[in-house]
Amino acid sequence: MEEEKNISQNDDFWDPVDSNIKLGRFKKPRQAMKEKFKELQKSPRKLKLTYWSLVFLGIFVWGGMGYWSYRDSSSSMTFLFGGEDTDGLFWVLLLAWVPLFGFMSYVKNLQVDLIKERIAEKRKWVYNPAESSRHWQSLKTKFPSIFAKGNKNQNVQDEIWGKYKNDDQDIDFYSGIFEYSKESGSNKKKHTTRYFQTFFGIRLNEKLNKDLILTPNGKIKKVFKALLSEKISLESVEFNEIFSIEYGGKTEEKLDIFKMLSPAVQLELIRLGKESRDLKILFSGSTFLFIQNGFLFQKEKMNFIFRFFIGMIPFAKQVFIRKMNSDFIKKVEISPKDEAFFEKKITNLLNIATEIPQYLD
Amino acid sequence: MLIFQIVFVILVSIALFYGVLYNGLVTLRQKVKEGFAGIDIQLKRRHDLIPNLVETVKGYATHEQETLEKVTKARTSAMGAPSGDMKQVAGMENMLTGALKSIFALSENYPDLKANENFIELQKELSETENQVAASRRIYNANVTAFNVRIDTFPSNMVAGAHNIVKAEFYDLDEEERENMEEAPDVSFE
Repeated sequence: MEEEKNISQNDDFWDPVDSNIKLGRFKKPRQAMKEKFKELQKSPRKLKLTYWSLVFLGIFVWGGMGYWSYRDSSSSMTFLFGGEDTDGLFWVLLLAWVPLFGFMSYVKNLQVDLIKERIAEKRKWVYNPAESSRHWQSLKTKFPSIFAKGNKNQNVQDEIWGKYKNDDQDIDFYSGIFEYSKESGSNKKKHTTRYFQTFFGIRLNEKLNKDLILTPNGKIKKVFKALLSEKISLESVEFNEIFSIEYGGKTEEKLDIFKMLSPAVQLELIRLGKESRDLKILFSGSTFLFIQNGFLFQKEKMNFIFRFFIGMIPFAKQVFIRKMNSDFIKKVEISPKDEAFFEKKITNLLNIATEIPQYLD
Repeated sequence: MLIFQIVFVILVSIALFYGVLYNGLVTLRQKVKEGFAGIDIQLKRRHDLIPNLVETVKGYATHEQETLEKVTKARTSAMGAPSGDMKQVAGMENMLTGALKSIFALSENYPDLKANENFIELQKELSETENQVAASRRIYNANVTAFNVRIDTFPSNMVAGAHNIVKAEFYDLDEEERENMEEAPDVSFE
């Protein structure tokens, strides 16, 4: 391993692709978010009123459609199913609820952002609630295996830059949510599906000799893996069940991999793999990066088909997030329980992840 | 003719299934061996570090001959333990760990030794190796659990019996592992 200069200073935060981030950065968007919160606290009825108005709008549109169908079934059916546009029913029924979806998404998003803001403030981390496609571009150039995905709307959001103390050592990390969309189909029938992935990057003190990707073994992959001979397998049965190793394929590189993924590293990676779903891990240069599907605070059980269809609905991303105790529509207040839960989830992952660099050879 | 074809398909399926079970057992047995080789590598690394440590300590703690001899003896015994005998290897290595602890404890009485760069570096390396030994041991024991469970459960137990594949021995479980093994799993029929 090559020695690398220690760039970390007290008020500077490491970024894997850009120059260091100062503590005071992104003050404006953070301030704007806090102001919004204060404004809502002053007039809590505003949210309630908007919510119920949109619920009634949905009911009104559905009721109207029902009445219309009852009065003149032939014309409404032609509109809904007839002619060339057979998607009519789907869109009318869906569009009736899109404003409510959008509103709920906005409220839930604000709640999550405020919780992250509070955690960042408490731990003296830098937080950027805004979306950044420029930063995504840089990340894509440096880590294409992780960030070169989708064909539309790629960006990183909810970024956090910070230092995490483990064994009296400050370890730099950077995390965020990577959003991308995939557009498929022909001109007339285009479908766009949105995807969200949560990632964490940890700065290693030394540069690794070898770039390496660990990909999760899904159920189907497990079956095939049992039948096909593996390219590379480590001594831990459990590790081989959770991850596949992707590397250059050269025999001499195998030795480097065996050396790098020592028993202690394997055990920590197993722990990390159990903590997250579908975890993809990248070791590149002086960065250790891991990414998981969905949000960090996602509902525990999420059906794959449901996830796919929800991804097609605009504004629906926050539907993935687990039920929270905070509910701005009832009361404009962040629940300490939510804050504690979110913080625990982040620190659990960081606890394991920051153990790994010390065992890397 | 049709009956022969059906019987042929059934026999081929049974043979394939048997082959998959057998291969699974052999792969797991191989992983158990690899797991033990992993422990062996880390132990050898530890054995290689000890002479340097003893030499460094000798220069500062001249009156601690007995402790140093104890470490050297423990190292020789550990290196001479038959690698197939899990219990003996574990016992000898535990003795060596104890002897090493006494060396680090005596360094408290010798500030010059404690501040010696070489000693600090060796101490760090030994501690890292100790972590790797512990990790290797856990991996080995996890592999043994997976292998032994396969041997005990149907239908793999029939294949294991037919080929005389026997259970592997655990490598000296640590506290946490022992607790995990002893704790009966909670079974609920609700």
